[in-house]
Amino acid sequence: MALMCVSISAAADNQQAAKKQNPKKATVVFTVEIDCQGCIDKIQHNIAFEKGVRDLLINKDEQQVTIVYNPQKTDIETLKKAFQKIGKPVYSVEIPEAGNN
Amino acid sequence: MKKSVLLSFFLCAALSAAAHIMGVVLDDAGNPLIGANVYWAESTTGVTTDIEGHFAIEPVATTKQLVTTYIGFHNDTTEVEGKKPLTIVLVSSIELDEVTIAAKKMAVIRSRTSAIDTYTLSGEELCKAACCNLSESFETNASVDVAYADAATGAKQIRLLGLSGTYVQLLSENTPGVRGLAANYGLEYIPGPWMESIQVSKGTSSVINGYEATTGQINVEYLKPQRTNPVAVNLMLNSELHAEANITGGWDLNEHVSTAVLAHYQNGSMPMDENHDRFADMPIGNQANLLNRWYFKQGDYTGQLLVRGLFDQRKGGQVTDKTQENPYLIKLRTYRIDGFMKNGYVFDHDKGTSIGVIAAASYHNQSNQYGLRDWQAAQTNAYLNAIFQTNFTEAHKLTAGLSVNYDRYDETLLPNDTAAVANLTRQEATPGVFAEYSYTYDEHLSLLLGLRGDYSTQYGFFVTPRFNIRYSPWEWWTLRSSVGLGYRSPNILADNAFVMPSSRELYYVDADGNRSLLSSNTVFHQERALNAGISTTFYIPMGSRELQLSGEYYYTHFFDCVVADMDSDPHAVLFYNSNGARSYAQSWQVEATTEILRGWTMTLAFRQTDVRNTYAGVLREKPLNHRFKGIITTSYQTPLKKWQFDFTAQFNGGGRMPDSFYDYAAGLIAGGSKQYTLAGGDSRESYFTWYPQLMAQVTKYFRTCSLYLGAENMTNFRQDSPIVSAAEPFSQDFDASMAWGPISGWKIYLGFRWALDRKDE
Repeated sequence: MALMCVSISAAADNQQAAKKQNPKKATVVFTVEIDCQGCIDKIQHNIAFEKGVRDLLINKDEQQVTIVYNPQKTDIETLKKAFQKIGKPVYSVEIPEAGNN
Repeated sequence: MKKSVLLSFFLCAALSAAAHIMGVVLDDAGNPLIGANVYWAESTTGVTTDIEGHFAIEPVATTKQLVTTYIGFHNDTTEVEGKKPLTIVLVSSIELDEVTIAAKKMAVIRSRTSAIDTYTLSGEELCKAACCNLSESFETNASVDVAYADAATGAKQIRLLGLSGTYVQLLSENTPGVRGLAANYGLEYIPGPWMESIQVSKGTSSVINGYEATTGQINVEYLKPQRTNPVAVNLMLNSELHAEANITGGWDLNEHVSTAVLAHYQNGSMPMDENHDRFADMPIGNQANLLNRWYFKQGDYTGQLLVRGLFDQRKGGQVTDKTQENPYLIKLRTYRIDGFMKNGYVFDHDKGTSIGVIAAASYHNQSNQYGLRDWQAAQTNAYLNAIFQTNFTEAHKLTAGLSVNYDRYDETLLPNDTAAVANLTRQEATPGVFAEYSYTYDEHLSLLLGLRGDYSTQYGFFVTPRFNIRYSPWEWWTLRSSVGLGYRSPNILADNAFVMPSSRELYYVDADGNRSLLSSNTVFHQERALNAGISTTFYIPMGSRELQLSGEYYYTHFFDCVVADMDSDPHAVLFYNSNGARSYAQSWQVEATTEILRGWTMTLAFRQTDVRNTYAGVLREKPLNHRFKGIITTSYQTPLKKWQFDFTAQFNGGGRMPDSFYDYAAGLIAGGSKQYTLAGGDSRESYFTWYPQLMAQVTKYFRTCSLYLGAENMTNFRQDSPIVSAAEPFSQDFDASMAWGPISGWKIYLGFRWALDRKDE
């Protein structure tokens, strides 16, 4: 009974709980310099083929790339390195809240 | 990019004691955000906020946009004015809005702002079909039709607004492109992988490029040295054992100079005869094509140089076993060299004052034999265009200039073994002046008023006025209208090359009705026409997407044109000037295009045309034209763009056959053909049926390369026995000029593309 209360309250407090419910899918939003179609193409051609990437959305107006990935196959650091490799370093990382997929 | 970093470094060094931009970053409750990133847009210069949320950043010369980011919050972009300390408040992204999906970039982009009805086919659209060359780039397009001109030579012809491609001005980077002698096979001299984009304009367009655009203008932009991949390879093979290879590459030699080399080679070795009429469905041969271009930029000056060399040869005609003596052979050989030089200088960046000088030249030499008919021709063209442009204010712009065009044709025709050689050598120089005024009012209105005055050494002085207007009262509705005149100097043989593979004799008929063989004494008038049109587009928002719905109507009226009469005499083609007799074309079109679901786009379009000429005093429908065209084209790309599926279905309407075809049509109908119908009663009119053309392509993308597989003419629709008297090509009745549908059946092709990305982006 006590264990249940603790786990329920933990779930309520922890805003990252949603990530644990669906371990095969995680979303991260990178802020990257996108100032021309060539940048979009470069990101599209390379990041889409990185292991574990499930979906890719490039938003030029907001200078953001949203990646849906499988956390069991890759992680944020590896993805950041992939961006570094194509000459598009990541300026900031955002993790959108659960329930917004 | 490198340049801006360098510049900001110098500036920082120079202003080492200058004030930093200071500020504080807070959340919407007023609490400071520690470790927030603050950086200038489009640069790598940035800082992070300290324990109190404060930051200090050096200004840069390149931008005033300051971007602030922090995990869990929406980004902020602030325009920094002056030196006042900033307070930047970030909004929490706990309720993150639905991620704004960057809508799939439409491959065909219709201009929303231009006064001229223009749309651009980008590289992505060009990759949806086999697209081996320019003639195949319009397969997914509703407005431009491409069809085989005749049943034996494989030459392709385009049509816009129902009228022949001769009334479309084809340009290569705004210099004279496929025109004159090149109009015969010219569309095949521009390989698909060489093109960056194609702009199609309907109506009379701008006066800047000359007076030749009557129904429209198609401009091809080649790959640019400063933008294209350092290396790209494209290989293709189809089920007729026709292979093509393209290698292109562009490189920056230093910060001022870039160069590119484009190379193409194609070869077909197996003659196909699917309809078993003992005639090759298409001539086969090879083509080698090489282009080198240079781009130079220093300060306000931009210079370009382009040179291209081409060799093309094809053989077709009777496919026989070795026992046949003297088969009817078609031998076509062309070599061509062309190029241009462009210089541009910007005087005043604020007013956009600039001057540009374009010089272009070409030499085209062809030798074409059709059985006993022998056509030898060479065309030399030189072109100069000097353009001055300035914006008086943001709303008023003026463009003015001078141009000179020179064409020399050295042309001879041996109609058949017994006739005399006709010498059609001629030359024409046309200097001219032009001015164009442009007025823009916000995004709501833009208009273009142009006027040209040219003097031709052949035809005298003539004036070309043109008017284009675009009105967008609201964001979701655009209305366009255009009216203008267009002229062209007729080239009897090149404009009507489809009559060559036949036994028809070519005659000129004068105003009194006297027939004579074509000779140097034959005088054809300059073709003159008026084109007027109106078009409208609705941009209807549908959720996060947009439905584009458009409709248009264009009317072309010819004051004078050359009529090719194939009705009056089955063994001749009579050419005469219309001399004011009624000759017109009307075209209505409706089109809808949208992204249905993420990655899935679709376009539906329908067009009806009505084209009539006065043949022997009677106003009649132009033969071999299609009365309507319907098209459904759709494309689906998977979310990560690893797969792409393209499908297009075209429905080409029926039309009228020349009267001389009547007996042959009757024979085909008796033999079971469903493709023709006969008019009743005394009329000698016969009609051909509508037909579908289906094509599909699947593409798989890898990191640096892609593989594609496609099929054309999937229903295997072919014109029944397209060649009259195919068994006796030297007889009087032999005629391969009356083609209205596909000559070859289904084709499958396989292709491969590989490219390296440019490193400096």
